[in-house]
Amino acid sequence: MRIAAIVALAAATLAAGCSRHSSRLSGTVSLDGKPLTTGVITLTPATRGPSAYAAIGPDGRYAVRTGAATGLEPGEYVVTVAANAAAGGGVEAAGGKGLLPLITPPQYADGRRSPLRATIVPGSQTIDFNLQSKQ
Amino acid sequence: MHRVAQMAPIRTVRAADPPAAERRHGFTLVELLVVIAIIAVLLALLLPAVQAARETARRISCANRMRQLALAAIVHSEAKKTFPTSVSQWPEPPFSDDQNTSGRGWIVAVLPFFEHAELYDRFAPFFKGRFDRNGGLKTPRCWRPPPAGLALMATPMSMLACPSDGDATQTQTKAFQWENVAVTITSYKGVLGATRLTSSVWPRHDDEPGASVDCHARTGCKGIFFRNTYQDPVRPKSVTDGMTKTFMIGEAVWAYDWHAAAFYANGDWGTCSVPPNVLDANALSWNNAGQWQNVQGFRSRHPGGLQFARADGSVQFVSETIDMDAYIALSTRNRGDIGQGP
Repeated sequence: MRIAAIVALAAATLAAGCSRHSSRLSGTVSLDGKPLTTGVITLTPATRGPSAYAAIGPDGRYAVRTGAATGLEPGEYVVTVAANAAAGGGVEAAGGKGLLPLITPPQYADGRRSPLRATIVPGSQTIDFNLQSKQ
Repeated sequence: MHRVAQMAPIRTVRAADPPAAERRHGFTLVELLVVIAIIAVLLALLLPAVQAARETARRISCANRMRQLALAAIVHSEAKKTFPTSVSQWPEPPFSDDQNTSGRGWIVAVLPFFEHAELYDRFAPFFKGRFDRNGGLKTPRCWRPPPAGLALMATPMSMLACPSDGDATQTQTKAFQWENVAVTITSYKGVLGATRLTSSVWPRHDDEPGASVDCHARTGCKGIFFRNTYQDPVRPKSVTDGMTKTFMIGEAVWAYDWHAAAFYANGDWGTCSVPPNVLDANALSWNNAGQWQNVQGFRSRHPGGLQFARADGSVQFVSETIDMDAYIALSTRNRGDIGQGP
């Protein structure tokens, strides 16, 4: 019993050591109501600080990280989303000449024009972003 | 009677001997389990420390190799008055001379400056002509293994492998434009600046004004290494933000970014428009899914950050929580934005 307690304590300490950010943010990114299957969501602080990001999963879900660590710092963020068309023709095309076109409306990829904002508070939160192809 | 009385105690002692010995030299199961549990707990506490010490050793070795490469680039810049140049594998504006698109990367150009002049000389016949035919780096003679060719592209080069990334120590066959060809990969890539590929545009940065924001396929990037530098070599005097304020070389992790063929102009650069240490597991599929624009930045397996060599040859650990404005400022050589130290 005592050993179990020690192990639990060690695990808790380890887990606490990993989470260096006091906020968590996850949710879903969709375009016209349909979840995106790929792409990147980036949160840039409205003033200064590190940028947080997430790779959007095949189900449209994302969970934000700052570098390798889960989570981000509380504050105001400008949110940008960019997803590119899947490459046809295998890996050669995937990394080949020319950039693959954005499938998300370009204003969402531009931090100066993106209408998306997020206010992050300490603790866990869920924010779903729904992009509109028509303004 | 007397004799019996004398013997009795002796017999008693003998009878009692074995249990006494057992008590002295044996352990009960519970005692054994407790000891094992204590050892397990101690090991569990010790193991992370040992792993951390080993990673620290790998990181220092990684920094040493990066510094060697940085010093070689600096010696090149003093000897030839320009930083090592890359030659694009495709004809790209403003030049459209497709007879000079060998795909030779800047790492080849520095080989003579870190005691690999012999390898440089073996690469030299492939510096003229087009990339994948007629004389360039992908001319079969340059990459096919012997006896058909020289397999130069797969030449082992431990100096280019960061020990923290196990994938970097072996040749890979998925590098972009080198599919199914074994090539040596590099953990160290030149910093092209902070041009945005098609990834997110930063709210406070417009580093390439104009209709097309991306410089990576042209000249005019604001870093030190990009694949068209042969058209307009970067000179030390153009590092107007200051040598100590400009990133020159950063780290990359193969699994997340297959643009990594070591001797190749399209495998040896990254952009600081991608945040540091993008290591989301979802991003592992981005190479296949055509999202390479979003991954061609800098990252490492070191906990908490990544290392950069600056143009003065110093190597520094940069926290992954670095202010993004500072990160972008440090990536450029001539934007007039003097980056603050991390």
